[in-house]
Amino acid sequence: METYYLLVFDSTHAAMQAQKDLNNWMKVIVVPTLREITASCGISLRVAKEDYETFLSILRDQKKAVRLDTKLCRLYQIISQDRTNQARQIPLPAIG
Amino acid sequence: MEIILDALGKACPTPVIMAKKEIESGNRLFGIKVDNEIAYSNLKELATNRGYHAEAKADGGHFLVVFEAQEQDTCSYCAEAAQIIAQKPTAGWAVFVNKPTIGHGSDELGGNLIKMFFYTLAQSDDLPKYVLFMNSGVKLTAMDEYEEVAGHLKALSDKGCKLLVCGTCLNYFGLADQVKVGTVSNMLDITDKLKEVAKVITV
Repeated sequence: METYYLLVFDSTHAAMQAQKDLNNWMKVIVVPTLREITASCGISLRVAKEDYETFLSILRDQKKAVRLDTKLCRLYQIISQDRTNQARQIPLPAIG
Repeated sequence: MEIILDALGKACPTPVIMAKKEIESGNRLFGIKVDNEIAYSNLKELATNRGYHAEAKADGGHFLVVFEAQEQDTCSYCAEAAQIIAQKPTAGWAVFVNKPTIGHGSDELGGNLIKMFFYTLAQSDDLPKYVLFMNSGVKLTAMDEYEEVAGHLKALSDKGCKLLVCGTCLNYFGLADQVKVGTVSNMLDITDKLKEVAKVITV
């Protein structure tokens, strides 16, 4: 069993913008949006479980200036086991 | 050893072609002079594939690679069986990568698409037999900016997929000593693999 977090987007540009900004501060992996999640953009950002707290603190830190429009993205916790994924949406923290 | 071929200053894959001709003419012991390590590693691979033993000796700043045929069974049944075994079945598939992006139009988007492509492949159970890199595709295996893709390629390699990277191309981009993943290869080998599999997907 593997747990990780996934940011999914409504727009490809929003996904790539967030990827660039986040990569200045931490490692996020560009992955295809899971079949289990309906989103209009196929690019998602994968955050490892051990990096999740760092990820949240980066989003909260105004100085890090991560451009992430919360209206255009959603955050999921993914539990992956035997090639099936369970996706649970969790609220995004207030940004900046 | 009577025959010593001179491949000094010859670009890849010329040394391999020269050695191949010698093997095909039935010579069981010969040497070939080369001046770089990529040529040596390509020659070594050729030797292994053709039942030869290859050893490099330092030769005044160059390498003298000595090819020696390994002892083989001379019985006709064994020779016939060996021939059948050597006929590789047409099975499996390969991915041919000739640039560090997928498609044209936006390098930024294409760079992200190729990251997702190799992530998806690495997660899958149906793996390609080979991933073959040529031209600027070799950058994925060597440059720091493609580290994320190199991570997925490493996962593919760990699962048994063979990654062959064009040595001439690495050399052209000045990346020969920076390869993070895969085996440095040559045109002959890469062409063989393209012909061997039933399907090639070019990204």
